[in-house]
Amino acid sequence: MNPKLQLLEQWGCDIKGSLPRFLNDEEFMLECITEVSKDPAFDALESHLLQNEVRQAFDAAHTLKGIISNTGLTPLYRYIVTIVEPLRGGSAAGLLPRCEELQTARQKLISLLKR
Amino acid sequence: MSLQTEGSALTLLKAFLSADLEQRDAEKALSFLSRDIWWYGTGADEDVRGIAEAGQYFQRKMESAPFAYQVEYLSCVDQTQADGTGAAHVKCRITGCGITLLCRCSAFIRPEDGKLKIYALHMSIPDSIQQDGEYLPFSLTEQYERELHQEFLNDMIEGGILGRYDDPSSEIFIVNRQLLGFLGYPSEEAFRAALNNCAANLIHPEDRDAIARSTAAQLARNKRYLVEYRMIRRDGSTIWVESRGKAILTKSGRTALVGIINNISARKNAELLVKAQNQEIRNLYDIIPGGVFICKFNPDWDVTFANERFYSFLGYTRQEFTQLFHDKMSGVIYKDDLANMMSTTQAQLANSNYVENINRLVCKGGTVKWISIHALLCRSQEGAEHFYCTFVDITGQKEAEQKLRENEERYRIAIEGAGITVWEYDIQNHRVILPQNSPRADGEMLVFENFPDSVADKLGISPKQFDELKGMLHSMECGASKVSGDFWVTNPQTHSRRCERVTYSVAFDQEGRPVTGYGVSMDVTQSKLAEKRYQEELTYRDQVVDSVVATCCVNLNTRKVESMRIVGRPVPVQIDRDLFDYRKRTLAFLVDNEMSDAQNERLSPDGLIRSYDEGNTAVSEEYLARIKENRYCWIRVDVNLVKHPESGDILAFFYNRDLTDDLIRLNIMNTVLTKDYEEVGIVDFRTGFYKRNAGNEALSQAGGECRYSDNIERFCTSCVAEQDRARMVKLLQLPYLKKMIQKHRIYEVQFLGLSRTGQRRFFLMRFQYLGSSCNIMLITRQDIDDVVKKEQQKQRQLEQAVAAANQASQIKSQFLSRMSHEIRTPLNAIIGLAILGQKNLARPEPNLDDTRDYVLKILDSSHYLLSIINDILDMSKIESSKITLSCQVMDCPHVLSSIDTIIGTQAAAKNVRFKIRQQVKCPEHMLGDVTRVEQVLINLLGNAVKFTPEGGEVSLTIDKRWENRDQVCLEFVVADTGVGISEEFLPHLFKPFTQENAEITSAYGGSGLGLAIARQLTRLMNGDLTVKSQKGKGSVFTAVMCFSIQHTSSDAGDESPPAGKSYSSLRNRKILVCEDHPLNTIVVKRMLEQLDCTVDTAANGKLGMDAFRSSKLWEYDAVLMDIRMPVMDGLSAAAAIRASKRADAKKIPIIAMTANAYEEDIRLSRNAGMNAHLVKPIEPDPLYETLAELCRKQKGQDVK
Repeated sequence: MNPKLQLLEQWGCDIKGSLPRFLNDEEFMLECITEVSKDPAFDALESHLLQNEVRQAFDAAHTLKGIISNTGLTPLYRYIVTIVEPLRGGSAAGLLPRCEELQTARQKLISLLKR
Repeated sequence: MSLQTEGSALTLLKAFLSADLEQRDAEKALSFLSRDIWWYGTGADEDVRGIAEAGQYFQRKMESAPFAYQVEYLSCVDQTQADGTGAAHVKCRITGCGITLLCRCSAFIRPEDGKLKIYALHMSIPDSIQQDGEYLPFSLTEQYERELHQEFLNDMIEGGILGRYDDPSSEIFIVNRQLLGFLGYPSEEAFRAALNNCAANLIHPEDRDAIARSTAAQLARNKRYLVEYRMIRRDGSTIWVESRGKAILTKSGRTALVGIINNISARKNAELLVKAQNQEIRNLYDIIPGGVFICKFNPDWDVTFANERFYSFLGYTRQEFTQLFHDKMSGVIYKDDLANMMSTTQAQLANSNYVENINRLVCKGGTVKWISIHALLCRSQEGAEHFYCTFVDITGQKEAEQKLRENEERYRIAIEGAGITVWEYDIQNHRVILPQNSPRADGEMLVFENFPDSVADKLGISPKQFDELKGMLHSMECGASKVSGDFWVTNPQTHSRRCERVTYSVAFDQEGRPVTGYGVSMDVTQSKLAEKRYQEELTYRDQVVDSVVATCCVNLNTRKVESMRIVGRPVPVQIDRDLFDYRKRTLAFLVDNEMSDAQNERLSPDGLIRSYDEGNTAVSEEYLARIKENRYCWIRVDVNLVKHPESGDILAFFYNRDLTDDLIRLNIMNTVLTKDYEEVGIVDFRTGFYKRNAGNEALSQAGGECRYSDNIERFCTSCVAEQDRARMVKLLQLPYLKKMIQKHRIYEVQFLGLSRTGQRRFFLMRFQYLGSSCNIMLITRQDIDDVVKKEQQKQRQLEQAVAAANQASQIKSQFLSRMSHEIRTPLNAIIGLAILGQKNLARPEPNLDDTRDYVLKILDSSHYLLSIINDILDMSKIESSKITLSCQVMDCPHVLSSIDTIIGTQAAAKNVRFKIRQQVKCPEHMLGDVTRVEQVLINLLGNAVKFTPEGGEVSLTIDKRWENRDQVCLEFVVADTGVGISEEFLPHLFKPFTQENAEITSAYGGSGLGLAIARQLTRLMNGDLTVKSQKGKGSVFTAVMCFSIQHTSSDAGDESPPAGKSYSSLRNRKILVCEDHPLNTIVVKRMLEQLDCTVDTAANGKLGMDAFRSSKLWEYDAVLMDIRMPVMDGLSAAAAIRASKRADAKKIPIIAMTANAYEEDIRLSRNAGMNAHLVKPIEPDPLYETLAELCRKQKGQDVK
């Protein structure tokens, strides 16, 4: 297995479970994970939450939830799930810390990918 | 001369002589004489025998010589005996009528019938040669006699003597010197010569005849005469003389009349003067316009004097008055007046001697006349009282007064009858004088200064009309001779209005200036109202209101139809003017009229005139009619009878109204009023009267109308429960109600009242103005007992809810208090660790291991904090039913693996054994919310580890409760050997925010929500969470959860190649992928390309729709459609594709791809026309299988 994927696996990502989705192509998966880590939706989510733009924040969170779950990034998934549901219900209260945690996890992901 | 002491005989004699000679009272003189008197007189024929002869003697004596004498007693002798008898003798001188005689007299006295009487009397004179038949003595010889006689005549007789022969020659028989002296003759010869010896020439020619007649008459009666006449003196002057004499027979045989002549000129002149004065007075009396009379003050008012006017007034002569009424005034005083005259007179005399009175006299012929009498009461020295009276005839005045009164009464009646008021207006001084007989003056003359300004308020006319009135008065000042105007005035007491037609006729002074305006006002209200009513009727008739179907006007006097209007027909309707029969006339607008003959007769001209004469100006009849062939209706005809203001004819205005709708409306209204309200009524604030319009009698008594304030107490007694009675009595007072509805518009009062059966029920009274009028108040009373009781029940429920909410709030407050502690605990740890980390990093050589340790602990605390907050949010969602479960393919081994990792770590850290026992193999394609399943199990297992002491054991056992083709129900049993739960707390175990006790909270922390959330989640998964526990021994939680089973093609036994695993049917297919995110797009594209599919991509729904529309027919085999996309979402794009008219639009498989796996999302994608729903992340096999299946189906349809 690709060493970076291994690191991600150790970090808690569901690499094994997600790899078939990428046709067991580790490189392809790694590319996708790398793309996810750069996805502008992360910054958009934080920005919309700061502006208390719930609907736009939900769109960003919903996008992130899709690609994160697609790539099996469980450490990020745990955060994004707790963000999407309140936003679906129309509330952005108290989500900014979670978003920061998500960003922390994202940075963790990036750091792992850079290794 | 001194008299001897007089005895009874002398006294009696003197009394007799006094009566005989001095008083000349024969009757009195006779009273002194005895019945057997024996009297020797002085003459030969003067002997008297008996009282009868004495009487005759006196009669003769008095007639011949009625003159009084004076008796002077020269000597008196009284010989009265002790027994009263005796004699008396006197010598006396008798003087009178010009003679003086010496007389001796003796009288003899004896008692008779108890009184002393003279029974013998002897009288003598000194000359004894007195001849028979002579009363006066003469000389014995003719010469001597003549001389003696002459001497006697000259010396002895005072006054003159004249004698003449009683024949036509009137030759002088004798004359004495005294007479000659009177007349101025020096001698008898001169006298005789001057008179031609005729005595008649002495008499004033004017008196001669009268004297002759009088003398003759007297001589014929008693041979003596007494006459008065004017005698002519020598110098031609006359003197008045009195001649008293008698006829004597001279020796020559001739009869001579010899008389003593006394000059009475002084007396006569005095008498004449008095007479003249009397005459003057009489003349004066007679010219006085009224009567003058003197009467005695006695009941008969005896008249002692009256002037001619008195008699002429009465119509009687003096004689007639004397004869008929004996000179009594009472004879002619009107009977009714006489009764009060004496009392009236005496009343006035109490103050003065002056009396005045008005009374009636009955004149000759029965004529009654009114007199005004003035009288003065005078008393004579003797004490007699006489009234000196004058009166004037006031009959004319009285009649005038009576006539005036009658005229005034007629005037008053006429004014009252005519309804007019008259007054004068002083134009220059602006003063109105209302005479006392004015109907509006109340019997007193009224003066209004500064008219009309001073009475502006009292007149009660509008400001505009007041200005008109002032203008009219000003016109008079400017010279108008007549002004007039109509003014509506209001009576301030009754508030009634009337119209006064005021007319002024102006009087001018000599210089042409207006002085007085004579005002007349007449009440023309009736005529004004009649005119107004007539105009209103005409207007009303022309403005047919909604319910009126026809109107008509009939002249009852001419019996002609004046006009007729029918709604919906041309105006006016052509109709036979003689058709005055009502029923026939209605056939112009009715098909049939079912009114009775009696009704029709009442509406005929005769019947209506009869009603008008009885004082009715409005007549109504109701009847059933057929207005169209298929419609019956109830018609009411109202007839208003109005007198034409000009012709005076009676006009009947007929208004035929269709009452059918009104009656229905009325019935509805009555039904509503009687069913919904106990009572409905109105109060008129102006009169204070209440009128009940519907409902039962409560505020009003029988009849429905009463004075409101009189019935408040009665109403409250009968209809208000005792506890509310005093309050309601105050609330129901009219002033209070008026104030309330002015303030609130609608004022409502709720009270505990009494129903008709005496039950205590709640009522509502509502007060408000009726319509726009502020004079009428509408009152309704409604039984709201049921409503109130329901409200009370709701109120109780609400209070219970509030109490529950308060309790919940209290619990939440307790929870929040606890949560704040729970949240602060990890937060404090995070902050504290962060500070430590910061300090460590601030060191010159930071210890990275410590820093790492701090960071990891911070992370743990953060996770813990996050879990608490997540629990709270989950509980909030569950309570608000907002939580929904996602539907994902659940890889059971993977789930158990994750749990094993998490719980295993925790258990190991606490030295607790943890085991997972899987009794059955889970289906591979279970669909469920993996996250929630993990949440439930981690919660249960986390608690188990938390409450299991070191060395204990925690286990998770998975078993299958049941399974069918579509679902599988799994049982997850979490058992521990921990502290266990008390039996008492078990029922509360799954309630939110509850923990067994504070020690647990303190020792183990937690929100108290975990188990409540876990149970709700299991129930959302059609399962449940139950517990069995024993304190100190451990607990067993059983979570049952059900999952759907996703069927694959192979599951369905399809003919297609098994999943596999080659998916050759998809080879060379062309797929359109609509996905906005590049990563997802790439992944899917790579999956499809793996099967040699051709993939086109579109970044949003619109691009996808355009790509499809621009493609060739059947170019694409399928469309993968993301749902959430910018520009156009997947649902809209799918619907648009399906809506396309292309042949492949309805058949091309469209597969949704979304992270939302909720039922609702699936339903929405189905509704948009999509064939299948794939949950992200997209797995290759489900994608391939779905595509393969749909392509196969689509192919099958094409084959078919």
